Amino acid sequence: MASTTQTAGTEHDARLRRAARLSSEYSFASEFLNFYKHVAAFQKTLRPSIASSGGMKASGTPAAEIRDSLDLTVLLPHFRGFLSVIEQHAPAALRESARQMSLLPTDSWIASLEAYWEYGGKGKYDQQIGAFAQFLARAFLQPYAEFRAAMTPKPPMVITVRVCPLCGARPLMGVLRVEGDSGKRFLLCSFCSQEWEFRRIFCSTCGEEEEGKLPVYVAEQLPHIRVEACDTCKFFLTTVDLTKDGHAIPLVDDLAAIPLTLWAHEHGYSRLQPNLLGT
Amino acid sequence: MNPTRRDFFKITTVGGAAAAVFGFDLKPAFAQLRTLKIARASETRSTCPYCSVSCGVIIYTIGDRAKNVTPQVVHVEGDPDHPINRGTLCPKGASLEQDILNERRLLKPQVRRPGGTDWEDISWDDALNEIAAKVKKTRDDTFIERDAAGHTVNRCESIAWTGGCTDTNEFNYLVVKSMRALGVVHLENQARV
Repeated sequence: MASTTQTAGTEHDARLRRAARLSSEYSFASEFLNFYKHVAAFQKTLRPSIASSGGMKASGTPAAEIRDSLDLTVLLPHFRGFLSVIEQHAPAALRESARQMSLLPTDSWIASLEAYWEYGGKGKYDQQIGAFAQFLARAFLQPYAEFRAAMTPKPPMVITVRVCPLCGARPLMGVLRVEGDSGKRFLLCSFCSQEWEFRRIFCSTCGEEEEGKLPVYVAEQLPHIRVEACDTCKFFLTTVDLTKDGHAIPLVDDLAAIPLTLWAHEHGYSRLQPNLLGT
Repeated sequence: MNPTRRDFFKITTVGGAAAAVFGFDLKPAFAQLRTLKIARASETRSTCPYCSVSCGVIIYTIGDRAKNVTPQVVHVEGDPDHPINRGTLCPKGASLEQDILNERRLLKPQVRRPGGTDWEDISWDDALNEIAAKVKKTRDDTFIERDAAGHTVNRCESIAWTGGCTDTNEFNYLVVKSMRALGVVHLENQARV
């Protein structure tokens, strides 16, 4: 248990360090990254509580399904604190949404968090509930989902699956990790941040395999970020190439890659699952 | 009056570029976007042509597919998904890019005539016709219908076939069919792909 908490702390520290570095390096993304630092710092404070209470259950008997049960007795006391972090540091509209959420009764908080826990990252629900409600639940529950995923045994991968084998959510992005002298592709889950293997030159949205229809766009200024597009379904996947920059933290570097995301949208491609800050 | 949960959801916005809705200033990102130099690459799976291990490779080609632009191979690396080499390549295979982009690479058929010292250009049609004629003549001249004991064998021992490692299973199937029809018995391929 202690090691899980420690690992989580290290993970969040790495995210915070990377966000600070990218924020100073890429001024165009500094507003996003500075705000993210506050979110990540809050998430870091949440992890010990999760590990010490909800963790007992999870570590004793590994969860069969990540989404089996949401233990709000641990989380709910922290929700008001989370909303005040957002109220203090978010841009105006998001700040206002956090303020309005803080005025709602606890039952509404529970309903919102439980609904996201059950359906978040699966597509249709994300579009129905809107950006603000999704952000608040997603940012707040992310550390819990990550903790549960880390405690859940990974099923053996015998086929290439397009949704997270642990929680059923859509992929947020791709990650290329060193394999031989090349980069093996993994997809990173938009809900529980776990990775699973996924073949290269294969559209993660529609399954297109024809090489001429799967262009990869890379900007000279951001050589480790790839926009892996599909000319058949017109979706794209942002992929962080760790063989080009081993210091990159995919979740954070994706936030800094906002010009590429905008570029892809301008060229008619859509993102299957936006990141935490909605790009 | 405090908002209800229904009111809260009503003010939210459906999907899309939520960052702008959150109130983030996208102007710096758009300004940066205008300065980006973005290249379009295609990734193509292939097989290393050198030895019988038949490693999988990925060939990167740059080009925006405009009519007047010739795609340019910029990099070749091991295919990480290939079960044989899992992203690795030997030094020879790793130099494949230099094999593709090489001023000494042959781009058309050539022939060196018996007794000749120089290579001559030849068209594909002429090359195929000459090869067909030589195959027929060689077979006609050397075909063995019966062996010394009088058994019918129908062999053509003067022609041999050897295949390369990029030959696919289907291609090798056709090769065997064709060669056996000619009576060729010296037949080899690497049959890995």
